[in-house]
Amino acid sequence: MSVSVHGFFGGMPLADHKAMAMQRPTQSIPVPEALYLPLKGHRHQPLDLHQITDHLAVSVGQQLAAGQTLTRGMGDAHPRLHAPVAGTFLGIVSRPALKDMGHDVPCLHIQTDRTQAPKKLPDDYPPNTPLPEITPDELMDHLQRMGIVGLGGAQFPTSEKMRQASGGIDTVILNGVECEPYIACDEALMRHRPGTIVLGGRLLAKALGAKRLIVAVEDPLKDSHGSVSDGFLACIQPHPLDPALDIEFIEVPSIYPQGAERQLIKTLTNQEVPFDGLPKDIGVICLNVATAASVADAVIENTPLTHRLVSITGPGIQNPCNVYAPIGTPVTDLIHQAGGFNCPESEIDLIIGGPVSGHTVSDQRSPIDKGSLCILALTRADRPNSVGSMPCINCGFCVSVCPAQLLPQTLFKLASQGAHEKAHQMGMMDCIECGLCAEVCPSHLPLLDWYRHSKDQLRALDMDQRRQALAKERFEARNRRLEQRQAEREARRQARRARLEANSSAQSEIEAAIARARQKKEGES
Amino acid sequence: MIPSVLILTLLTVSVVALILWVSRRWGANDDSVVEQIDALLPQTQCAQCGYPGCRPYAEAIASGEADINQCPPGGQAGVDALADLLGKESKPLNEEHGSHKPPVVALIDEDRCIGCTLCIQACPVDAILGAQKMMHTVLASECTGCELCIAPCPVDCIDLVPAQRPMIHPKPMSIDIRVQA
Amino acid sequence: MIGQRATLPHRPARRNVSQVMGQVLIALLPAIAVHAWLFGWGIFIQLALAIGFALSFEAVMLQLRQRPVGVYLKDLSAVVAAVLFALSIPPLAPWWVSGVGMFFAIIIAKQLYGGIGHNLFNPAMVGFAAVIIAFPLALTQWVIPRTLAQTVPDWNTTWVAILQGPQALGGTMDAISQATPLDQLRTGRLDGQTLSEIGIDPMFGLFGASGWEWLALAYLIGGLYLIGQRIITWHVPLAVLLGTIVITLPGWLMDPDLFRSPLQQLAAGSLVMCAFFIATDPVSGSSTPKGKIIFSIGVVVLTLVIRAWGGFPDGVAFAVLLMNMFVPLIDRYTVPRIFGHPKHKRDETRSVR
Repeated sequence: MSVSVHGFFGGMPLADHKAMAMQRPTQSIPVPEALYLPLKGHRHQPLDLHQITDHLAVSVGQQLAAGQTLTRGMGDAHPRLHAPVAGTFLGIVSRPALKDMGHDVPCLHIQTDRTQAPKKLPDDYPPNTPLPEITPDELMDHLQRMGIVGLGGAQFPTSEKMRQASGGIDTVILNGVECEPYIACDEALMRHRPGTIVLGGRLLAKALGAKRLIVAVEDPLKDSHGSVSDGFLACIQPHPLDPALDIEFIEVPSIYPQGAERQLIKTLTNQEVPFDGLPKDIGVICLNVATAASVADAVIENTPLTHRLVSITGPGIQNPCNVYAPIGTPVTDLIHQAGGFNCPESEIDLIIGGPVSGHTVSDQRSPIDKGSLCILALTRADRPNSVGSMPCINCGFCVSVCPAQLLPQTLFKLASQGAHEKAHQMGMMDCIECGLCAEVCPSHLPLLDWYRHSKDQLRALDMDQRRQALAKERFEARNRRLEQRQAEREARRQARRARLEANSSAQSEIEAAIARARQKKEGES
Repeated sequence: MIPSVLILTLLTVSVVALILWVSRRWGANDDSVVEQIDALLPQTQCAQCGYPGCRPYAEAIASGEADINQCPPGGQAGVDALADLLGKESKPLNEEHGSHKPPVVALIDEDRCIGCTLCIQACPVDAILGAQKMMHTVLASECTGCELCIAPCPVDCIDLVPAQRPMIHPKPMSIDIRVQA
Repeated sequence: MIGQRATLPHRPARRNVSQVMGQVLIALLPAIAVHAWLFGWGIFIQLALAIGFALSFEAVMLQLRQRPVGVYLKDLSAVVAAVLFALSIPPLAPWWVSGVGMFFAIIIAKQLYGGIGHNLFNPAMVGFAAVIIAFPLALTQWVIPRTLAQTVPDWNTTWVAILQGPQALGGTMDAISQATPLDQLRTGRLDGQTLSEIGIDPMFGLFGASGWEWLALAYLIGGLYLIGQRIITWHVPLAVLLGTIVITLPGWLMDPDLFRSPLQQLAAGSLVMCAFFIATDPVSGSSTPKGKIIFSIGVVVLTLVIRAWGGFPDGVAFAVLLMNMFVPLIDRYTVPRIFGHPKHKRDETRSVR
């Protein structure tokens, strides 16, 4: 069965610049002096320091072996972390956050043992590697223990994603569509480890009861070594784990943001994931190829997720390349590995992620996390001219490229006026932050920055409203309780008085009786 | 002449009656006004307004007994929202009731707490846990930062710390050419 | 510099506002060329006057509003408005027509509303509406096109007419000018003539108006260039052109003596120019795809109504200005369906994910 490729609304082709990072072989990085494993998996949930210390699995000063568990589960937002290399745990320190300028993030500080050899990108598994029979629940528990999260950037725990989706999954999509310019870490992985990716996909498909496994890549992924599809096609052969599994390899047109989950699903299935739902609602689950590879590693070799491929690239980098780096490596070590900058640092714009939707890196001491795909150094020459922005002329270029089918210019006007709730009504939260609107804007408006600001404001507002509702509820409950207690007290007092009164009337009767008896007696006597 | 005066009078009276009926019929009734005011209040239950909680203050505003600018936690934005709801002119926050401060939560210094339960009785939202002669603790997620627990504490072991806020992507400093010139 | 917020995207913009406006100007070149061929030197003087007035008014207003003059003059939006205005007025119109028109276009309609991006009404059309009300006579005296007169006014005549007003030419003015075909149609209909009686005049050319047909074609070519350059989308032009044809076709088929042919409606007036250059003005037009279509149909209907029953021979300017007023309402009710949302039901209570 073949899948026809549909499109999605909006989007536009962008020059990919992937060859820049792909021109050199994938490298591993000498063990950095210190690693800082960021503890914040989720920026919208403030982290409670008590919570962290309660969940540490190691104590300060403890010697760590490579792969040793550092934190026990702290819920979805904070998946488990493992020591990438051997070293000493030095405690929790604050480091500048990679994405949020001016903010710090608590990190697990590891002093590494620099005598050990760096870990290399593991070799590919042959496509017929035997896979253990593992029940879905066992697999999910195992992935949770191994700290496997979505490596496409969102870092949502894979086990949790599977739990939410279990039952009713028909298709597993492995997303190899790395659509943003310059980023090539998934391409490097797909060229080196197609077998591993497919094996990971098989494990996921089996556990989720899916009948189809789709591997999607962009169509122009070809270089002197041939297309990435060659590697994958060699892996598509029946496997004893699930011989009936229908594996398809699909090349989709490279139109940014084709790699966004919902847009990819629309392209492959012609179905839209409901705005308030998840892909599982239409029987699909979508995982990054790197996630699938880490699933295979976790199951076959029992390796926790401690390293990832990061593209260090851009016109400002001396030797652009893909680096297999331990989680927690400071950005400065990665840049050093790629030969440093090729122009004065003041000319450099350092970005985490791609040029269209990435965030500015304000401090090179920031450590990478499991969702860091690319460190991009653009030079002044590539920067939009610093003319600044003109007023919006409502040209509609943004409307025609917006893949979420929003009205970006209207959202911008509302957001910049601070009318975040109105923007919410116009679909602000449906923005996927692809950044295309800002890319095409002739007035050079920082549209994506406005949307990110507005979305965060909306989330904060929502949190406040929830807190207010909770406070109101608790206040009312307390008042009811106090009133009830008051009422009970009042009732008891009434009862006592009644009893006393009753007592006093009985007393008088007794007294009357006594008096009568006395009179009688006196009369008798 | 008399008929025209009569007709005009009749017309005026009927239009007035119609307008009044419409405003009664479609206008908000008292209960929903209290609800709407209450929804705009920050629900800290801090009683800085002079009423024992947000709902009583809302009732007082609805009855015209209290002014709209007595809620420091709501800040000027809250006053503006109330003015907007009630169709009144907004006014500056009345500093007599306190000034607007960033959100805080109470934190009990557990070493100094003597377990007197006075703060537990003062808390309007039951956000403090503890028992007689046992150390108390504040549920940060439920605490509204109302400060009502501070005064009763005999050993001053309760501090106010900034509440954990979600991170907000900074407003773009759009290099507007208007500024540049 | 590292450590400073770079606004996204981190890349050079593909186009800036000046380039967008520049593309519009390029697309107007064929029309200017045809105009010059048909009516002579007038258009160049009118262009110079309108652009000159526009830029000076813009500069003065920017100065008064304490905005950087250089940057905003370079955005070329005033030039586009001026060119559209110059193309709309008769080539021999006296200079004060441009002055008054640009005063209303730039100062009233544009700068007083907040400058580029903030005007509610199409500046060029505000200017045109102002002068057609202020100088109705000067605005109906069009030069006879080369296709009829075999010649065009020489430089001297043009110069004198524009600088000193038509009176300075005396009788020559009557000899070289005539009413526009649309005007002729209107007065003829008022006199009770049928369309076929009026249409005998050679001024109605092949499809509806000798000479004007070529101008319409030039606008069409320029407009297609704009669509090709993705400066405008297909919505407005298609809706205006198709709308005109669909609305006028039934009447013409029923009684060609009573109703003008669709081609004449398109070729004889400024509807083609409107379709590609006026109704497509992004600032004063609708933002949504569906809204653009509704806006365009509204422009067409109002234009046809004004042509048929109004006091002016052509109604594009008034139609556009009237529809500009409805834009907020149209936008309000034509918000497109968002990706992943159900087709019809609009959910008012949305959760923040």
